[in-house]
Amino acid sequence: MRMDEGKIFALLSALVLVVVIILSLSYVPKARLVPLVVALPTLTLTIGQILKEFGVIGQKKKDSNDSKDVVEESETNLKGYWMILFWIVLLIAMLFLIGFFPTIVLFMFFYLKLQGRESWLVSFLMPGATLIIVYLAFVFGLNIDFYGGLLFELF
Amino acid sequence: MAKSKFRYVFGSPNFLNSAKVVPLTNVMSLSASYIHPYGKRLNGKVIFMLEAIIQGFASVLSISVLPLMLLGVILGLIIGAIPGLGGAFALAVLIPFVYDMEPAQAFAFLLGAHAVIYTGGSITAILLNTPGSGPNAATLFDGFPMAQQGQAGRALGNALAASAVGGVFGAIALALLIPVIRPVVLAFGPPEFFMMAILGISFIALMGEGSLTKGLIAGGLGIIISLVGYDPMTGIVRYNFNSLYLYDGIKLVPLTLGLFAVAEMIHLALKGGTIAQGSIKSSTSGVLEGIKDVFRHWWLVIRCGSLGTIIGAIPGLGGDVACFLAYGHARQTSRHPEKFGKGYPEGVIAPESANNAKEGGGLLPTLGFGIPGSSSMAILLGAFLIIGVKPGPEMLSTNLDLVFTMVATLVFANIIGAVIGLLFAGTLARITNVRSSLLVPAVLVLTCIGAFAVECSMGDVAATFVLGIVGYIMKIKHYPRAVLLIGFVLGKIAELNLHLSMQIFGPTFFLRPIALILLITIIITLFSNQIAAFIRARREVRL
Repeated sequence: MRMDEGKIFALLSALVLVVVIILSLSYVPKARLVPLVVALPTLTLTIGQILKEFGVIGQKKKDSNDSKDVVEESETNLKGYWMILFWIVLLIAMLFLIGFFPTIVLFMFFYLKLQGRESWLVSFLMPGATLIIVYLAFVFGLNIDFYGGLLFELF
Repeated sequence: MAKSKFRYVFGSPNFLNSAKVVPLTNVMSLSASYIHPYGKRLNGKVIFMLEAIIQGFASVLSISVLPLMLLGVILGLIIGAIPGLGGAFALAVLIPFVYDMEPAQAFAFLLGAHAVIYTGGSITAILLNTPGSGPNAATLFDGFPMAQQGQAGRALGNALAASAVGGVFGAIALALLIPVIRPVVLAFGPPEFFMMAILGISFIALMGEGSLTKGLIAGGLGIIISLVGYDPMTGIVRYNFNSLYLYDGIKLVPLTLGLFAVAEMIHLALKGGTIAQGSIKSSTSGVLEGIKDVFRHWWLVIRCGSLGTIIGAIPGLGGDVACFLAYGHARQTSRHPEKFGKGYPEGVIAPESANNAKEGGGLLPTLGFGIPGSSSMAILLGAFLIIGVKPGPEMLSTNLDLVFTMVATLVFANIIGAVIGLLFAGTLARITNVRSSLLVPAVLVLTCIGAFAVECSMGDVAATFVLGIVGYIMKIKHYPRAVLLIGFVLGKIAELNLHLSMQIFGPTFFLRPIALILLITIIITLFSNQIAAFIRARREVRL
């Protein structure tokens, strides 16, 4: 089974726009004028797009993008999606829990070794080099105080 | 008082008296010749200006200033290339270093860095689809597709040469316009800002990647996203769902990094391989071709440079507007508008010449009235006060040499920045041939750092990745992300200035002369295709 991102995006857009319209109605006229002027026609167009995506109206467009769609079929397989989503969630979770510097080293190392199947040398060297560059440029040079991570700040 | 100070260039009778307060160095020995026995004041004024120009340029090239400017340029290129950081960040970070410097040194250092911020930002925009800062966002639309087609060298040549020429154009405009800019700036008020924002938004109609419906949906969503957070007109916080992070609204940096950088890395990770789809065209010849493109499209550079200078000079509009308007203008006036968005050099040249020219424009109100044209210029204004220089009309009589030091800094910094960039362009272009397994983790980490560094907010990091997933879906389903970005940048400006216009001028605010001209331009923009078809049909009937 394959996700249809077009349908998901159109449905989510419509949902967001409905929420915006409902919330706007509770604001004073000046605060709701522009949101309503923009959201109502956008919602109309989005509903039209949803109907098109579900094949209710018109023919789902098969044009020059057809060849791209073939590539998309193969590249947007569920396994790939979940894998990249896993890496992104892992990155954010690590950043929040252990902070920037340990995350830079650990995330890059694991990604290079497990996902990229790079050699041990590259998997060690690249995170190390990145850490040194980031430290020199941002901490030493630009004096930025990076987030230390929830775990380290608690203890 | 202020009026008389502005008049000196045009012939104030007290011109020579006011000129006496200018500290002249030995380089200015020419001055002896202008006090003619018969008092030919016109020659005197010209020579006085020439003195200040020569003094400004000589000062920048002196041994005590030039190395600092070079250092500033290098730092500016590096900071500019880091996603998310921008001109305001660069100035804020570098200001502590100027406390003990002479004014000429301080401005060469600060302006040297600030002048090339967008030059640096264009490099990552083209190679990694990751803009260094907001004004580089329009460079993505054609720069990155060129890199994907193996023409990264040519795109870099386009961007760097256009940046240099645009920057020099802005500096010259600064020198020429500073005495006369006052009425121009004052002619622009909320109705004109509103119309300019709507003009930018109207380009959405021209920018849909095939489907106009998808373009309009993306543009509408962009405007809605820009309205999240505190509304200064009513004091209401909109659509924040009780989240403290959303109180300030969604910021440009996480949105741009998410929509483009993260989305591109997700795509690359799933696709595998490299950014360049195919062989890379010989880098050096590509770069040279890119430089030639800029001179081939010299008229476009001048038009977009003028646009950038004017928008930069108008406080409140900002560089993001300049680059989008320049891009839209280039597309509208191009012989091949259908090629835009698919990797067309004009699409890189236009925004790059505008965003560097805007620096000269931004200095106009800052120096002329002490009113900063942007957040960067506000920080620069702080630097003026630290150094003990008072910006404003009197600066043109008491510190004219310093004004020309800034002009010279902009000229040299832009040229040096482009030369440094061009020297490394061939090598940098090879990044597009680095395999995804190496590029993806590096860019994701860099994106996190860029998103965090601007406001030290972990919320920005999280928002970047959420928007990245949205950006990826938009990319593969052909919803134009560029249009969403335009809607986002201009939506808030349009709303604020609409309310201000209604309050100050009433419902007929659009009848002000400049606003009316802009309204006509908007109508022409919206119906340009129909107008062109009508003209074509008429011609065919006649034949």
